Amino acid sequence: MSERTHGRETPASNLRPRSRAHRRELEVQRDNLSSYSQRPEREGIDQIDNPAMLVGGGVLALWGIKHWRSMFGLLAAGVGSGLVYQGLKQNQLLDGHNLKQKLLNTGASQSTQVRATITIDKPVEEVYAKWKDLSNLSRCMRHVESVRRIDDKHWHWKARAPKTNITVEWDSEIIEEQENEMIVWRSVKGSEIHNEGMIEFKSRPNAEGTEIHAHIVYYPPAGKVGKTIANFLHGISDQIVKEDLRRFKRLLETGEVPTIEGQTSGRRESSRPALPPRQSSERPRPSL
Amino acid sequence: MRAVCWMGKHDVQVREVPDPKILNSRDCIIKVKLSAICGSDLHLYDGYIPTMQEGDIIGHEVIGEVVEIGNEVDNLTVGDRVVIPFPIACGSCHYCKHEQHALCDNSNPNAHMAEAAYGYSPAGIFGYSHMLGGYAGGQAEYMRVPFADVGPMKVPDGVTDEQALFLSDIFPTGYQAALNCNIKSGDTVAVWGCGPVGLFAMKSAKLLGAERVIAIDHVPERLEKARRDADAEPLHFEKTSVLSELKEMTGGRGPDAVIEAVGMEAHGFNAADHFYDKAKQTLRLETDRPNALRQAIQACGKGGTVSIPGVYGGIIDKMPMGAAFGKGLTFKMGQTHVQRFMNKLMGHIEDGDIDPSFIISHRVPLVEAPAAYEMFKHKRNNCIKVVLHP
Repeated sequence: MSERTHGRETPASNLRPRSRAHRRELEVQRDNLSSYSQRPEREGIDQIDNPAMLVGGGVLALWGIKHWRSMFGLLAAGVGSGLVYQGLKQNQLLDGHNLKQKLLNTGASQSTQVRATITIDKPVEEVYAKWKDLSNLSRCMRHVESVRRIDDKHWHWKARAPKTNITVEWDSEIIEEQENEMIVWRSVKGSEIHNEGMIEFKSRPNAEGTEIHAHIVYYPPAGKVGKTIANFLHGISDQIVKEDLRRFKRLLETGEVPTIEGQTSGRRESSRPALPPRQSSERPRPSL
Repeated sequence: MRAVCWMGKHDVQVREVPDPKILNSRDCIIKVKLSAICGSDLHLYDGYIPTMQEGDIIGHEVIGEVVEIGNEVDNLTVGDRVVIPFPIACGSCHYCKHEQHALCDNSNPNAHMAEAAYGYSPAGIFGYSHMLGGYAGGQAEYMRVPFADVGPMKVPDGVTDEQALFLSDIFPTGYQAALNCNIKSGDTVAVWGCGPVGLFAMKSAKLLGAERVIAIDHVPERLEKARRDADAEPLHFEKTSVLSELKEMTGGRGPDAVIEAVGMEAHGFNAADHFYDKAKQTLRLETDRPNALRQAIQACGKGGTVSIPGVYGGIIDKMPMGAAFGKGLTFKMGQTHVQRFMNKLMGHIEDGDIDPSFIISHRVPLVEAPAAYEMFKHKRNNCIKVVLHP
């Protein structure tokens, strides 16, 4: 779940589909969103990604120290320590702060990935334009309370976890936009909750509307805010995002979101029998 | 206002409930002039449709007068007499644009529930379970109508309430069932079930050029009505062998199309499969009893069409798939795209080709709905169709 790619960042210019084949390649990459955005801020989400050397080296070194009288033991202890050192170096653990942070986070955080898709019976230009103004989204995203524009690329989000009163806030920046094709964003440094995501827009053949594909990843930090965020994330699911997209579609296609909230009913608390109840022995007989 | 509320299995009550309000700008409120009890309401009554809640207002065959209009509705005025189609349709989604209103993408607020059961969600329906929208129905004094600029149809002055009422459901449903048979002139169509939908299907089949219509049922009065009002040849399924009789009547070829207007609560054709299904349904191992459907598939001639207006809600088993495959049958089914047919059928009523009120057997006040449900369920007093007036 929480594996992230390492090494080279993908330059933004690589994100523009240059051809049909390239678009397909991008779709494959989509399954690993982190390759689109830079790695989120180090603190909070970094883990020990490559424990093999550390563990292997540690075991070897301990065995070696235990058998220090033999030539093999000394050799093993030496090689083991070397491996441990390499492992620490590779995981950037040679300074104490990093070591503590990494140990805290290792295994403590799981990214939450959600995907959803829907088709909207409107031209792609219209769908894209509506989505691009993110402030429209708070009307259809049930857990998002507000989205405020900071500038062209930056937005401030305020969300409430489903079924709770926990609110979280973050700023997001748009890191890649292809008009009528895709929008990629991620949260900025220092956000309460790290997330990155991508919305793709695809025209269906024969002017049959627009497909939207949403893919969002949330990275929970560990530590003191962990519980709040964990609760928040607990409420986020594919279904929640699917319902958000559905409301967006309905707003675009019909101008409203169909509802039965507030309609009349014969629930016992809001109604009463219109007639005296029948005696059970009586057989109902219409007056015909 | 007073409304018929579903309070549990075999328990509908007339209750005093709050009046309906406009909730969205494309809503309107109508004062109900007449509503009817539908055969599919019996599935609710018998507790076979999931996701009903105690207190749900039921009823989906309604004609009324507009009394309040939302801001966005510009084609109706207060005082208009309108008949309301039972499937709620937005008019602007992919399916509505293709006149598949019963498959509207947008009108079911609980689409996720239907998606869990069916993969995808059909349209919302008035008073027919939360899985299909949870909308309050029209067996009441007033009703809220969403997307009022799309569904309700104004009734011309020359047409009475009773004549127009059945454009809300059973007349278009019977018509669509016949249309799905792909009738060519000279065809023979066999119809299982002489209830209101079966009768409208028979009349529509004749309207569409069928040479002969054969009606199958076990209620003598209903068979007689089919013979008299729909010009059908009756077959009593308990007194004869339907399959061999149909072969005999068609020179060994069998019917060109069959219509199954019975649905999920069929009575048995032979004790064995009826009790098998009844037991499984009681134990909830099977939700629907498809006896009539099995027999219709068996009886259909080679290359024929099986048209299913009868309602199914869940899972059936023991389907004669080999017969369907071996004979190369076509299946057509589903809820009715009422909005697609209303204009055309209103034309038939105005021209005097058909007077849908022939179907009505009982007219009772709304407060007597519980007794009327009971009577309709047991087909007492020759009950075929009950109309409720508030």
